[in-house]
Amino acid sequence: MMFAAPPEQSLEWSDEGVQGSYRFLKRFWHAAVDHAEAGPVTALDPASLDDAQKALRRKTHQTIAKIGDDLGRRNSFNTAVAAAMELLNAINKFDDASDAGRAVEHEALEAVVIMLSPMTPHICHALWQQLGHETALIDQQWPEFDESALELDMIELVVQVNGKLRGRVAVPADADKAAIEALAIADENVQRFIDGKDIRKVIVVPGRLVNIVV
Amino acid sequence: MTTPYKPEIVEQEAQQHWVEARSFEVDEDPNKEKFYCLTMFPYPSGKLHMGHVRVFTISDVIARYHRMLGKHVLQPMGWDAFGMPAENAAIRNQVPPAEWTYKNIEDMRGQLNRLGYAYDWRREVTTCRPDYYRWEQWLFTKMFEKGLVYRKNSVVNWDPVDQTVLANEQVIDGRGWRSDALVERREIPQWFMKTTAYADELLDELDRMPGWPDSVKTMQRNWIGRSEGVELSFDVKGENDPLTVYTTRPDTLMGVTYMAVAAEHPLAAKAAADSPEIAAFVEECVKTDAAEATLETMEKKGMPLGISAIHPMTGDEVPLWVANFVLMSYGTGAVMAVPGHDERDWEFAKKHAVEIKQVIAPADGSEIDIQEQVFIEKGVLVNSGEYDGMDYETAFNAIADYFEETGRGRRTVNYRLRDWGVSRQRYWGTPIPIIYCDDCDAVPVPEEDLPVVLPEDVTVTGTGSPLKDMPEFVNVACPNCGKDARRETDTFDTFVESSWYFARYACPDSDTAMLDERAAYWTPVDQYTGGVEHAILHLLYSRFFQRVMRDEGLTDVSEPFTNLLTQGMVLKDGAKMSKNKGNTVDPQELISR
Repeated sequence: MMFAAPPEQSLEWSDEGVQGSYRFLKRFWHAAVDHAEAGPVTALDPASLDDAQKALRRKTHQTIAKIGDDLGRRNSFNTAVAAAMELLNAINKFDDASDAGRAVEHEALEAVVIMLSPMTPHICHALWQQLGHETALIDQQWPEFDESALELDMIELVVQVNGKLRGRVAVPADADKAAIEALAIADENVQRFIDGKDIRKVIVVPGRLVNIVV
Repeated sequence: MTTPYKPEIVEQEAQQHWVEARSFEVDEDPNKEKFYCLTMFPYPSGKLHMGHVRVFTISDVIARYHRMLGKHVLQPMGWDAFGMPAENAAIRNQVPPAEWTYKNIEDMRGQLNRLGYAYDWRREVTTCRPDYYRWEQWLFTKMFEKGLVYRKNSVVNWDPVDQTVLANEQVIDGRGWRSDALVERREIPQWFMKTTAYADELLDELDRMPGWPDSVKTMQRNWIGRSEGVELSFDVKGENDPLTVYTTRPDTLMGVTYMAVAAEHPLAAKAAADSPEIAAFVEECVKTDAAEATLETMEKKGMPLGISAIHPMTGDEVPLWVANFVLMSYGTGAVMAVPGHDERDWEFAKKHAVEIKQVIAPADGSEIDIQEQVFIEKGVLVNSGEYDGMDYETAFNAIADYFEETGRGRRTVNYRLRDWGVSRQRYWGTPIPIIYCDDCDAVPVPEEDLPVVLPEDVTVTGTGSPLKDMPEFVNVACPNCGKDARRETDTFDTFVESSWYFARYACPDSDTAMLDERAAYWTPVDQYTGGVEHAILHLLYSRFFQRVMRDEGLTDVSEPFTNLLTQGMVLKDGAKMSKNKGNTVDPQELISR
């Protein structure tokens, strides 16, 4: 019911919706139980994670921030549930049985269990035990948001104007072409060589350089 | 294979843990940050419906979330147990309303527990129990002492099928909201609570309530409907008494071409004495209902009275009409009509071939044809003698000053808000604690004789309250002089119970006070969730009642609900899920599946 619509709007009842929710709960259950039954988990060391593990961790903490805002400020329960479902999808796609991988997955699963517990308290109560806890979930605090988990790696790109090196810019590792172009054009040093001129083309070689043709 | 998901077992184990660990029972802890999370409590109709489930779940999610933030969360539950459905069920099923109600409460409590909501059940409040309603009876007697309640003969909406008085809001298109019967206008003595005494405070505070949706605040403002205008009088040809009218547009005074009075106005009665047609018209008006919403949409009818008023500025004769759209209860029961600049007056004038005069022109100088279309905007005065060329504010003040200086009028503030009529001619409600003595008139029941207990073992027949036929209830000695006297048999509007229940959850077991220091800890409600259909009445009554309790020294809190969330309806196939429509989905079925 919380998923189908925001609280102030009317909610169109759908029997299929109920089926869908039930299927989700089963997937959720198995994701957590399969993980728990695969053995003990080592402590998470944020400093020694590979890119894929960092990406899942980032997703976990983005979701913590989003759901906290949805529940705390916006009263938007449908988007909170949707965000939890997205994180669960990311967890299910994540295929890494190494110690570090399992640690990151554990953090993600615990976060989903805690964050969904206001909406689906019964299943979360059981899954919390499955994940190895002896204290009850009802007495658990909201997950702590780790800002450092959100940090994106930055990479340096060379900026050329008509093939000649004119500047360098730092861009986020997952920035898209439009963002890279904008950053390159805005660079102070680059501006000196394009000011007043028509930009005919911008060539972006991801991870390496931007060439502005005027 | 991994452990399978077994919902029934998972649910049962979780619920068992919460019960054994008393997870949701909370006491007043000064070292913790409190968070009072409340849903509008349900009427125990017998079974939960989807609207209930949605609203309780929303509130439960919020309560559980704030608990995880480390707050000390109170989420109580109770029952708005008085009301008409219990009587209707009693007639249908031959069971006393009390018995039917208590059984429903048991069933619904079970359903709520099955859903696993995080309630502190020790604080359960049931409004049909004397240990609850004794306090609203007590407060009523205190209000009586202070003049905050009074008895008045008034025109009310009489539902001939349900045999009761309905609030204007319970009349839809001239018919009773539950019975669908055509409502009649009747005069009946009723008890009123003086909500208007708090009108300005209730209005002004809305500007300082960021936790409420703008839409609800607007509805409250419109309901209170404060307007600033001028009361002014017209002499009437052949009469000693002048005719007083209220207007928010004194700037259009020169455009008055007729006056209209309510059917109950003395001048209408006078004219009716000499004219059977007028008398017939007046009677027809009196019979139809008094709801304002109906007034707006219904056909505007009227008749000339053959009496003229004298325009206080021009000296012209202005004909008087009796009309069905003027309410005796609003303002003075008479209006000055300016068809050029008021939509309703324009329509009426067109229909009855009354003169339409233009006295306001658009400020930007554009041309208008007042005979084709009414011009309601404020602008610049024309055809208004010495006031020509003035804008609205200047004209308002100039004309108001004139009337004040010549002693023929004054600036006044008017409200759309009416005092709250709390009498209901029904059995299943809180008895109004008044005793009628032939010598002493209406006497409030003394504190030591409260509560006036509603007898529960009764037979409801459907033709008026059984209390009237119970001498053991009705006969009593006058508390003042000791002579034989009679108890009031009317009961309170059930909105009275829902106007303070939120505070009582804090101290449900107190038998020494309506509210004690526990209420000071928990109130105001931090998050209140419920249906938007209660945006006006329930919320306004509660805001009023809270202030009455404050002024009685019971609490320091003025605004009962800090943050408000109004939920939307649950629909099926595009229509509201409604028992009357037969398109409900039963939560009980889903729970079992």
